[in-house]
Amino acid sequence: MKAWLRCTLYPGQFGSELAVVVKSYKGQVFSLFASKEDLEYDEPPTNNCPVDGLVKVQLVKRQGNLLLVYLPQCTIENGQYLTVAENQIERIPVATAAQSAT
Amino acid sequence: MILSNLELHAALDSKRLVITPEPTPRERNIADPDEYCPYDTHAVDLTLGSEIIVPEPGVYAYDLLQQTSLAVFIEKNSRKYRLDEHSHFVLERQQFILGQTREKIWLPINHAKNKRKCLAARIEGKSSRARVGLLIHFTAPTVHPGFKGHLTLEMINLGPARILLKPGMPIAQLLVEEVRGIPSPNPSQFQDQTTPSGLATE
Repeated sequence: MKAWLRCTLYPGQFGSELAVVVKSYKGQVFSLFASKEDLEYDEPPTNNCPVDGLVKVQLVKRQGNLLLVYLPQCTIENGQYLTVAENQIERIPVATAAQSAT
Repeated sequence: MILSNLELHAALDSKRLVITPEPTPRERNIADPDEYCPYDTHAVDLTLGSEIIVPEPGVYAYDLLQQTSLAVFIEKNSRKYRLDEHSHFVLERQQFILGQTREKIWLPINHAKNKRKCLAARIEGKSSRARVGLLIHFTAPTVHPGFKGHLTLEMINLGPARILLKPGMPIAQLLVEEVRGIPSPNPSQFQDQTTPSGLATE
């Protein structure tokens, strides 16, 4: 199930992508390059001015207010999965939000 | 099982495999035997896109295990070149750069024809390019089921001379294979892990 994770966006290497910085529920920072198709933002970031945005993720599992999400690309520092807090997710699909903790 | 050229055509027709723009022609023109056909017996050629990324040399070191925004650091320490159809990039001996395929690849998982199987792919070099020492990937050939996007090429010139890279030139070949079963993220493998890449248990 798709959802959108809050992130910070920086210019990417290629024109079709942006650098994405996401945080785990513990506040640890991870980064990846993601296609612009998997991102939402108002203004494109520049080198001096990163912007807040959303990255499309797949919700894999829920445990209390923690969510395991699958990122659109592998992070450079770690894998493609990330545990985030529910309040880091924007527009949680209704079905998932209503799921009981597993 | 690697798809033959005919199976590649069928996969393209059914949209189990989407390549944009789609490589053409599918068959050689008998009347024009010199015409280039991107399809081999079980592979399809992909071409070089117009963007080249050159990592800047420096005194810095990559700490790949540091938990900071390494992607931002990598981007800031690279130079971008955009080539037009009349220009080229001179790849020096021993130089490492990043390129992209001009084509965008999509291997949809939730396709109606994906019953207990789906498609994955591998990008490989071409022998004609390898003979002059050009590597177009050296560690990451796998295109996972569900992938959508341009393929990044990790290119290096191991040959004795400089190599001219031109946008649109056939640069790689894509082998498409069938995956038995439909993969899905498996959260069970993260049980009891406490790293941020796995679901922490409380």
